[in-house]
Amino acid sequence: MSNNNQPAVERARNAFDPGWTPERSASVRARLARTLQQRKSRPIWHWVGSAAAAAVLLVGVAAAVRLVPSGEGAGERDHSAAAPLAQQEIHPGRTVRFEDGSLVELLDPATSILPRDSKPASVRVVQTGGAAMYRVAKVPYQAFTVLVGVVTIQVRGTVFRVVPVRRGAHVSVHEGRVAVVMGTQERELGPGESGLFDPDADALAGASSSAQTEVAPNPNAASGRPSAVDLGWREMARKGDYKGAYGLLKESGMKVADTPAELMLAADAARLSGHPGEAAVLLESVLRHGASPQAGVAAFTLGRLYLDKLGRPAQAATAFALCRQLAGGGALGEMALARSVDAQLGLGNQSEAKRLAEEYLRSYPNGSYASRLRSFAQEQGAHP
Amino acid sequence: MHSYGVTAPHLRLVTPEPGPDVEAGSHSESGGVPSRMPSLDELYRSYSRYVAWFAARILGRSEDVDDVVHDVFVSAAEQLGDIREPMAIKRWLATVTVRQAQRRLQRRRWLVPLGFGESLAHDDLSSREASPEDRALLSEVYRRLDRVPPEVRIAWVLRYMEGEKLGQVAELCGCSLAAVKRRLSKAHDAMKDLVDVQ
Repeated sequence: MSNNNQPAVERARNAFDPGWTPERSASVRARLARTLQQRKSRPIWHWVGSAAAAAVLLVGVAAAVRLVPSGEGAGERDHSAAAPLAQQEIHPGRTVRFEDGSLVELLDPATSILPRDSKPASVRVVQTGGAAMYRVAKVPYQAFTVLVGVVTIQVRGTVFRVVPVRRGAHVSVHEGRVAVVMGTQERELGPGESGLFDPDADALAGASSSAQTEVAPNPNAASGRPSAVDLGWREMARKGDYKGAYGLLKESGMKVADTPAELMLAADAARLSGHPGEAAVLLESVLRHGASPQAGVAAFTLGRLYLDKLGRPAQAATAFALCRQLAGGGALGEMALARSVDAQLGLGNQSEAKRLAEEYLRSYPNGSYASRLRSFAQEQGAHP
Repeated sequence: MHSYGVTAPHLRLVTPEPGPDVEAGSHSESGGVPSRMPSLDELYRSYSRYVAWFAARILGRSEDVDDVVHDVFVSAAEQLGDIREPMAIKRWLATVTVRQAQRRLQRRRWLVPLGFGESLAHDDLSSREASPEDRALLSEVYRRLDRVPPEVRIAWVLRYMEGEKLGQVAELCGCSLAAVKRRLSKAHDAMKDLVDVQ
């Protein structure tokens, strides 16, 4: 591989590889999402502030978002895009239209919505009272977020109703799906589902808090509020201290809430602290949840662990095959197919490896692994 | 260091060449610059790998890379709306990455002599494909870069590892062309007898 005729700096450059793997990327992405979520979920006074501050905020944001109330009947254009929302008389039954086509129907006289920090790629709205029906336009790559008390509702092309309740909200979904985040917990609601997300109710209800929620119960809530150890390992894992997180997890008897996100975080802690066996068990638990958002990465990571760390190519082959099913033809699917070749070679199954390599070359002729797999296939004397 | 350790004799997979578009779910068009302002998700899918490689080349150590990528995209989330020109995004990310990496290098420079820093092994930055000689060379490059001030190191890495032009190095470092030249001269002294740069 070394070519000593090459300039040394070029050889050094070519030898470089920081090992930026898909699961590492996914892990940082998840951490990034949590960081941003935590910033969004600051106490209400952080971002609402005094009435004067809100008015100043509105002047700027209204201009950026061009919030235009529309409604049945005349006078809808009386509320100019640049006018601060605080100065607009928005009555129940009126509809607020956003520039992206999203509509918010104000259902109650007490309803108050404030656009906040809206940008082309994302619209954020603070709802502080009343009740509102959101009809969010399906705009590719645009995130529409509603902040209610300590609850954050993330949506993309859906219809749902929000009623603020104390520090939280009652959310009911009519179409599409929304993700509701409260503190470290996250729930996804589908059509016809609704849930009460209220930290006060949770605190008052204690162990029976899940009774307040009409969606699938959260194992944390069902078994009582998270203990200090539970909170500790998560915090440490999110900060990248996987060794510390794994230590705390062990202390707690590896008690992990049975949700894909929690299991994935625990698997990261185990895997990145050098415990591939435990990580594999946790990743298999993620997969038992079916096609969750984490499933594709979980299957790929599991395949890698089985193949590279645990010496179990048969299980690795199964995991990569599952990953391909979950990921389809995306980049993850491509990598899973490439690594399936490895798994088959680990099993000593040259013919299946060759078949998979050829499948890869047909599907991804210019893929990241194409040149190597082409060499392999040519060595096997089959691929032209 | 990375996952492609257990392979059969005839096949060794390596991570793809550095580039912006190899992440899971990547969808950008042939690595081209975006024609409109992308969302954070889009940005991450398209450029996280670029930022990670860029940061790793500057830092010379893999374990700080995740933190830099995280911090760069937190900045991106906060300031995405301030970027007027979609075509400038990659450059903007590079500039933020340089700043974040420089901050870490400065911190490391203070902590390591006090015994608080980690060891300065660089083997984890070598491709498994690399020959033992090239691995040793890469390790030695970073060992020498560890001895020079962060700004000197960054200028050298940007110029020679990243292949940036002098003007671009100055822009990324936020300094004058003359300052870049001075820094490169210092770096050359440190690299004497090791790498043959002009």
